[in-house]
Amino acid sequence: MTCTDSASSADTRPNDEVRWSTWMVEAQQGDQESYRKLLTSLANAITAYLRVKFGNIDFLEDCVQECLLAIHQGRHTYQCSKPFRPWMFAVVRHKAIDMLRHRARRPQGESMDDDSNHLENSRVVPDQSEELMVREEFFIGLPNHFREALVLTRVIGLSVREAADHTGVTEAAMKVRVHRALKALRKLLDEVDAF
Amino acid sequence: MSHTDPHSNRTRLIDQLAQESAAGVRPFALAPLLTVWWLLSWVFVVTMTLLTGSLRPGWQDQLAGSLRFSIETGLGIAAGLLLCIAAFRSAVPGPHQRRWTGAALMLALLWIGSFVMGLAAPTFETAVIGARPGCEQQVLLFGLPAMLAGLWLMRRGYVLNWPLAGAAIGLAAGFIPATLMLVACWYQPQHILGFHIFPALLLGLGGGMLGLGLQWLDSRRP
Repeated sequence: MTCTDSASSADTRPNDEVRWSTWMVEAQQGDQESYRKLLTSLANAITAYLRVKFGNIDFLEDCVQECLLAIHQGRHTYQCSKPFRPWMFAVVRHKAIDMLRHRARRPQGESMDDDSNHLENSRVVPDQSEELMVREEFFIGLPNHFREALVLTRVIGLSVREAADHTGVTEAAMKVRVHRALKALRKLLDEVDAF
Repeated sequence: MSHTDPHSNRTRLIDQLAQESAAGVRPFALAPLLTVWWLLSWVFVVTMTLLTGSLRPGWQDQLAGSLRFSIETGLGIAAGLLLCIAAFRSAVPGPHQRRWTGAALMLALLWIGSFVMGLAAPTFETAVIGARPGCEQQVLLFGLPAMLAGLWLMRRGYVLNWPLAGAAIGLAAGFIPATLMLVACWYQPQHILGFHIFPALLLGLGGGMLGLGLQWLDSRRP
């Protein structure tokens, strides 16, 4: 059975799974139109997935585009005999965590206005972090102290020391908290059944 | 203050990627690559071992006559194979990658543990018959090309966690000569741990470091 046969005959799989798999197989053979359809559909799915998991973060669109790039770079590793979603979400999960981990502190005074899908939070101060967490539903599946650590360091853009001062913990404890929060977030991202 | 429509950026990116995909891609053949690497690495290590010395006299009788020695040898081969599978699987994104590596590492620990146990109660009485001068260097030297070839092949895939993948392929490559030394060098658990397994672990460390370097290179890729 060829890949195309296998993708089209797998009608017991969810619709997205069949469509994505078929489009990817066609894209691997150089079908630009299928690839365009695939990436457009994936972009929407990834946006929805990350919005539910991360909340309305300002760099959501950057994250989605990074994921699309990663899928493009790794598209030759998709095997048509295997389900598409675990492959795709493994790439998305890795890229999303990678972006959060390496998200550098925003330099002082730099405006966030150029960010796409921005939060208009250039005037956000750490004291508003709690309100922000609730309003934008940031990292909603995480315990509060992890959410706070990520919001302060990765969304508002405080340094670890500033975040530690704000929350009244030591710098080392804040570092550990961010590290554990990212680890917990990785686990949270494993739950992809709803998508 | 300029606002760019994120969706127009996204559309442009998708158009660009679609154009780049016109040539198509050759799918990464995981199973054939893994099999070829495993077999060729064994052929290379066996050839080099035979070119640089002989096997221990009577190794066939020991293998056939001692169940424990057979298990030790089998565990070494199995641990190397599982590490190789885990390493190559990590070149294809998917779930449970860490579980595969974890299982391979458990088997490797079991293998090493069998020699630690042998410190108190060795499989055979210590006899320096078959001693091979420079066996520790040979483990390193024979395993190194296999490790580098493995990393090169894995780069044809899409590795998400290079340090872990590098360590796994380094250990898999190191375990091949380390296992072979069970019949190509003298049998003594302390010697095996220090001169056969330790260099193999060094290759694992080296693979992890190279993996870190490759991760850094990938992060700079446009």
